[in-house]
Amino acid sequence: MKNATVSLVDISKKYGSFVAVEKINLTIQPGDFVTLLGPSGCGKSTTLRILGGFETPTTGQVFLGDDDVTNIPPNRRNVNMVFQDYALFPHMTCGRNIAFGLELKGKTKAETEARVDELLEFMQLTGFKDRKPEELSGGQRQRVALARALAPDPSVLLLDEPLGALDAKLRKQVQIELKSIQKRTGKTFIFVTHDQEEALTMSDRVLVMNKGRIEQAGSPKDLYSHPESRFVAEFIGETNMLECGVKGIDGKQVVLDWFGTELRGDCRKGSPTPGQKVGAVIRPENITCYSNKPESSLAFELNIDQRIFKGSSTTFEARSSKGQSLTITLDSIRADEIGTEKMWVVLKPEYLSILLN
Amino acid sequence: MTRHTRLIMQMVYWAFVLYLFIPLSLMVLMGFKDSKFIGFPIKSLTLHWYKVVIQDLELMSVFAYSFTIAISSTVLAIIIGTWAAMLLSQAKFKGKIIVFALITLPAVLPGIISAIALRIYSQTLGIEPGMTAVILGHTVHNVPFVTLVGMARLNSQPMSHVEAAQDLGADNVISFFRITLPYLTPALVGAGIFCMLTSFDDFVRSFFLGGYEPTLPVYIFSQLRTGMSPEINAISSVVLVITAVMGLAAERLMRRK
Amino acid sequence: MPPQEEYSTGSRSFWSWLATSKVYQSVSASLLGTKKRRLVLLAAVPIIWAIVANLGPLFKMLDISFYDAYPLSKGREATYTIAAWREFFVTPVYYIPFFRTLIFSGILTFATLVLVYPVAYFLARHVPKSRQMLFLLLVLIPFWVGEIIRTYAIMILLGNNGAINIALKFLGIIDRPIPFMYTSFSLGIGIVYLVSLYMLLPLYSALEKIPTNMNEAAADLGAGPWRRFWRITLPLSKDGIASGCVLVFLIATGFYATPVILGGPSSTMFAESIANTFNVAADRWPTGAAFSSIMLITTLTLAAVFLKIMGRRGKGYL
Ligand SMILES: Nc1ncnc2c1ncn2[C@@H]1O[C@H](COP(=O)(O)OP(=O)(O)O)[C@@H](O)[C@H]1O
Ligand SMILES: [Mg+2]
Repeated sequence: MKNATVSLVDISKKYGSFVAVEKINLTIQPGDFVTLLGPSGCGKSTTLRILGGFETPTTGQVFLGDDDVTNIPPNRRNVNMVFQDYALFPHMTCGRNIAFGLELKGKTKAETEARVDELLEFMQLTGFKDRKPEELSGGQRQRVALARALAPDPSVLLLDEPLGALDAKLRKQVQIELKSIQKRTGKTFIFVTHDQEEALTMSDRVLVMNKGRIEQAGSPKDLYSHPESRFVAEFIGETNMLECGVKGIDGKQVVLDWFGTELRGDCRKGSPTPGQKVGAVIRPENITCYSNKPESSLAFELNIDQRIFKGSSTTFEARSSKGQSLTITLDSIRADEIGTEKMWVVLKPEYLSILLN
Repeated sequence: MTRHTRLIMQMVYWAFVLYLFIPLSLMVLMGFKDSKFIGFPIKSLTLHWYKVVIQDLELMSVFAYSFTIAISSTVLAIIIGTWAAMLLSQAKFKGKIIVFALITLPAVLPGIISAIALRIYSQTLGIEPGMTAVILGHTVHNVPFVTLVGMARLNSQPMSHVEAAQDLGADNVISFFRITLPYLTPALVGAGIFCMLTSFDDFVRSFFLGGYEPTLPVYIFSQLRTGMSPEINAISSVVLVITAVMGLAAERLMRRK
Repeated sequence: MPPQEEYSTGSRSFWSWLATSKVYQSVSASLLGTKKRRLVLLAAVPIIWAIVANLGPLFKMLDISFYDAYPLSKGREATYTIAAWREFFVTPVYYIPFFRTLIFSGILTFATLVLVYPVAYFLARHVPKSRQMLFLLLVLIPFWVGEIIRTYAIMILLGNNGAINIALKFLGIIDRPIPFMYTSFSLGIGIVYLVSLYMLLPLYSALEKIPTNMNEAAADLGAGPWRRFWRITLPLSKDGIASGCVLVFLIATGFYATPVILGGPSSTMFAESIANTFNVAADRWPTGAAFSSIMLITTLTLAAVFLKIMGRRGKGYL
């Protein structure tokens, strides 16, 4: 089946007076690997289940291509889902599990068999056709679940934390596998996870959700380098959150005061006014360090509190007498050049994002 | 609790077991006694009464009659009880508690009242006392049990199994028959065996709803009114053994994970 | 709506055939098309059953209890009267067995509780978890055997030449058999024998749920074993006691065959009074219906009051 653009228009879902999902608008391009990322309870599953047809939104519409499918039940939606617990039918063999959706699509015996075999081979499960799910390992079950959902050739595949049940090592491996399966099939994958690293690794696009809303959408790189809210900045990756006051605007740059030190940065969302309290974020690895005072007018001196060696990188906890404190990550080779007591740092404007909320 | 009270409780347990088993054991023993007179002392043992029972054609037809009733009422109870269990565990609607109370009502009605009410009711519906009335009576009595067992099993079924089936194109009827029913089957077979036993053992409904043809308990009851006889012991012992075996099998099926 | 599927030809499995069948598609669409229709399909049979098969008989019974006669002879209309109900209150032969049944069942319920509580406690708290099922099955098996057969077994036990009398004679305690049979005693033994399971299971499941550390905590605070039992275990097993007692009481009041077989003239139960109105004279059904209604209302009211006193609300009656 051809991939279709998926759109959610003004989707909200209430359970009684509790709002699980609020005014979500989004469009997903065909063939994308899109991830809904957010803490537990933020409404990711609800959104996905609305897409799958398991929940009817309180307001709003769901479109698959040009069709409004808001009120179409799951069994008549051309969308398939991989469940967190895989939901393999325990009384059927893997082959029967995969054939389930094909039969209900009215495929003949020959067509069904051929497609089942094709998928088993694709998923490297040849030889497991006649096994029951309970006789498989976690990773194999996961692949059977994926094969079963792909079998009827849906226009979109939904995956609700499908790696949650795997142990850490297998998880890493399956992430890569899943990404490559997505590439090879060219299907639209909508993936749900609360693990930011997983989201960054696999996705073309990440939608960060918080309290039923989409906080920010963008490529992993975009989200990481240019978070637009404190929530996103703190949820994704390690970060330094600096509480600053706005001193003034200098062209495109905002001039900030951080405990008496002048900082400069970009504000991509909203327009700060002088005197306003704002947050400035910078990633630990984006801080430039020197052992001696550099030329820059933005440089300032810090005392090193802790130095944590992490193999290829080294992390510093540093603070100043004014009360400023920063976490800094350097390549271990670069870190060797820094003295034991003091360092000079520069927070380059291009790495500093200013957040109003 | 002290060691002392613990010991007392252990003794009470074993005394209770004896209380349960001694009467039945005596009954079995008397079935082998070489005399028409039930009671002690026992002089010698015989299989005579079992031969008499097996050759008793009337008794065999009573057995068959009871069996037919048990099977029919069980099938009906399973269908209705499963349906009710599906409703009570899968659907959301107002007044569920009331529906639950109504469906399980026969489980708490005193036996005689249930029997009398059904006797009156079948009369007003024009169902004469006889097999149909007994089957319906037993079904009424068994539906609550099947419902409760079915609900317990359904509550342990992951919601995602049904959702996955629907996701793959099954409507509610297909997902019931292909996913939910196989999941329920062991519990339903277990419940079914218990229903058969209950029906087979039931006296009060069979007595009031039955026609001239007696079920086994009604037959034994009528024999008892004319006095004890070793034949009754032999029949009862056979029933006892069958019951124990079937009950154990059902127990296994219902508790299987 | 998704576009109409194109099906290729070839042999199909049953489910594939069903999915492609036009008839099934339209039946499915019309019966299961909306949430409401699905609910109706799911609810119709159980609710109709509950009303027709469970409530119907009780209402009809209540209705008939106000008839002047039933079954009616051809062409005769029933007139409504309270004669059948009145009969109960003015006839000692009826209300004495009624109160006897209630009191007797109440006493037996209490006796069963006292007998079974230690058994349930032992099973739930002292038998290792892995062996509880085995110990439980041992006491379950006898309960699978029917009412009549177990009543008969009690007859053999208590008869003049029954095991107990023979044993007592053998021990030289008695010369002449004690006439246990056909008394309230034999009936009591028989009924307890029949109903104790319904006390055991609720008690067992309530006791099994009490965390062990509760008792240990209390012991740490210096509570002695009896105090611990009265203050902790007993209150926590209250739910089990309540449902066990209600079940046993309701079942005990409903026995018909057992009192007829084991009881005597001084222990006639109300069930027999009710049954007689059906057996002896065929036109006294309204009386039987009224008696049954009186018994039903009384027992259910007593059970509800008891549950209320025991503080069980909103948990259903099972
Ligand atoms: N059927 C329901 N009834 C009531 N509340 C629900 C229901 N389903 C989900 N919720 C609530 O909605 C919120 C979002 O849930 P969910 O989408 O499952 O979160 P997650 O992001 O962890 O997947 C949670 O707070 C959850 O408790
Ligand atoms: Mg979730």
